[in-house]
Amino acid sequence: MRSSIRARLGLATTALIAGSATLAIGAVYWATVTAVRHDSEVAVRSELESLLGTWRGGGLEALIGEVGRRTGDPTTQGFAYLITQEHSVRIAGNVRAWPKEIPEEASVGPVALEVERADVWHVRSYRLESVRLDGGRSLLVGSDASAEAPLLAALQWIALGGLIFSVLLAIGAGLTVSRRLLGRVENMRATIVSILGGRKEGRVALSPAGDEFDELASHFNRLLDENDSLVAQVRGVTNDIAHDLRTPLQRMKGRLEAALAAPSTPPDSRRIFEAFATDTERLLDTFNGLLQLARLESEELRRSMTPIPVEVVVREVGELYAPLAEEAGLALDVVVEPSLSVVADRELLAQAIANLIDNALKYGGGGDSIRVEAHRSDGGVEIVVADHGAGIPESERERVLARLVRLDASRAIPGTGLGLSLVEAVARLHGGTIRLEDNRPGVRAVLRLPESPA
Amino acid sequence: MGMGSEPDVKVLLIEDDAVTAEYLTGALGQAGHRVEHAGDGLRGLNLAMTGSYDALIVDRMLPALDGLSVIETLRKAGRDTPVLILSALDAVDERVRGLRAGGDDYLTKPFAFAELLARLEVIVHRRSGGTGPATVLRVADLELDLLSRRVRRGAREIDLKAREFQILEVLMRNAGRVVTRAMLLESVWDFHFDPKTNVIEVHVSRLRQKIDKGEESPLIQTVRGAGYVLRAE
Repeated sequence: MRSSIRARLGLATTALIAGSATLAIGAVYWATVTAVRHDSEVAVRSELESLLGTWRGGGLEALIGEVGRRTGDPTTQGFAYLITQEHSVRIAGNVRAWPKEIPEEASVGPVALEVERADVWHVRSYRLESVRLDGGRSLLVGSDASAEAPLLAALQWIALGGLIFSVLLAIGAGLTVSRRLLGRVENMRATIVSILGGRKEGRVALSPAGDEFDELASHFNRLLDENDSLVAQVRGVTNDIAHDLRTPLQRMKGRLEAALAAPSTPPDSRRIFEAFATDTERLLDTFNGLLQLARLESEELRRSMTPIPVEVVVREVGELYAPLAEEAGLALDVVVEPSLSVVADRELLAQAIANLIDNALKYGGGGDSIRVEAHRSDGGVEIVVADHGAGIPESERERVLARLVRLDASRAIPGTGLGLSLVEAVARLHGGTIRLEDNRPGVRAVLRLPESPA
Repeated sequence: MGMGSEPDVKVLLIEDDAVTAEYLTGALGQAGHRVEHAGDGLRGLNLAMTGSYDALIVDRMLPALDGLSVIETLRKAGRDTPVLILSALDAVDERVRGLRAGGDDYLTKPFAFAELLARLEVIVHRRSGGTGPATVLRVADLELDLLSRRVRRGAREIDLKAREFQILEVLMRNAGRVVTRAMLLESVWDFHFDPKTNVIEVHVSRLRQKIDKGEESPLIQTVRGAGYVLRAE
């Protein structure tokens, strides 16, 4: 699609420039030709009129005299004159014969005529005008047009050259414009793609030109800054709340534990304290989860990334959860392709896999097994945890990845609603993705990570 | 709580947060330990250099002198008092840096007091006990041979899976002291996250089945809200 916009833009620019150049050159050509023709036509006509004036005043004798005088006159050297009887008998003038193709009462040209000048016959081209006199006689006046042809030829060459030059120029301009323009657009596009890919600090580079594109880019950058600062504010508030409430909750939990451990606590109070302790624990879990997510998103952990053998980590987590799965009546099948490697934080990768298995255990009841897979796929590594439980309706799959979201069907099962958010944050931190698919029945969670170069 | 087997441990707590310090001092006192408190790194370092303590609890970030610098200075001066680091930073790198600076264990805030107590007692024992590189661990009639990977209870040979063997090893090395779920997850799987579910409980209960089933005196006991202790009655 991009290349077609580029082509269209290039073609449009080329056509526009070439078209307007053709129009301009054409107009100049036409105007010049017309002007040249007009000049010689006017000259022939006025010469003819003046001779006709002589004829009307003094008749044929005077006309013949005048023609004779003008053929010898150097000031009228560029003219040809001919008086004939029935076009065949020359009465006077310096033209050898009436040209066959010239009718009566016509204005034509340029036509080649054999004309005598200073006792020498020349063939030249003339613009002609003829008129019928009386008694079968005709008068022909021609104006030398031999300069016209090379002028027009030169003009044609100039016009043609100009056209070719301007079309080439137009093509060049079209290419340059489309490349320049789309280069700037491409620059913005690449920035947006990289921001969507998680490089939130990315901004569109400005050119020194300070043109409309730069203006657009700087507005766009300001929008991103604004967005970042809003997100940071919201995060900051969330984190501050989580952080500030965590310490007193922790102390509350400690005191409750102490009270529960003290032999003097009466059994009635003990039950209440136990309920308090459970709720406090859940609140703490949520706050700790939120704070961990915040840390992941601020990328504090990027530095502890090392190449991790996927098989080892998946098997370790599988081993950790296998007895729990068996207790729940589910077989935990681990199928891992050997020698897969990802650049990752081992701890986070393990926690993400653990969360997926934990979800499968919590919500995947009803099936008989949970399958944990790792394989290579399209240049990436996919770690799959699939259950045969009730599954997640397609409309909810996107939503369950958001923080604190718990589907109505799962409210009875303890959890913070942060498990999948953490998996998503871990995936993002590693340049990967998490997607939930239909396992028909059940959920197939696919954690996709870039494979590390061997 | 008083479940520790090392009563009267003298602890220096270097912690700038007054509320945490007060809470820990009280709780450690109840557990039978004596606590002295320093509110910043310099005072803490002075006390640690001049006094005699069984263990230090050092906050990672302190005014005047950073927690890691306190530990490094102590170690350079030849003091090998066991140190438990408290930190709000939970990245693996931070843990590694803390242990490299000379810390014996690293506990991320927030923590349950039982967790801190269990870890404190383990590091104190590890330093003072000096059991050496034993190849056979024994508690009551339970015997674990690290070389042949064999476990017997009395005359009964017990077949354990690899992870069960490792869990038992940790419990036996710390016999009489509480080992928390997090400590087991760390030492057996080298994972430091909180799995939230009772994964560790299931492993321990399977191990317990194999060790204690049919025996008159069970060895693996659950400590409510804390973890497990392997103890001969």
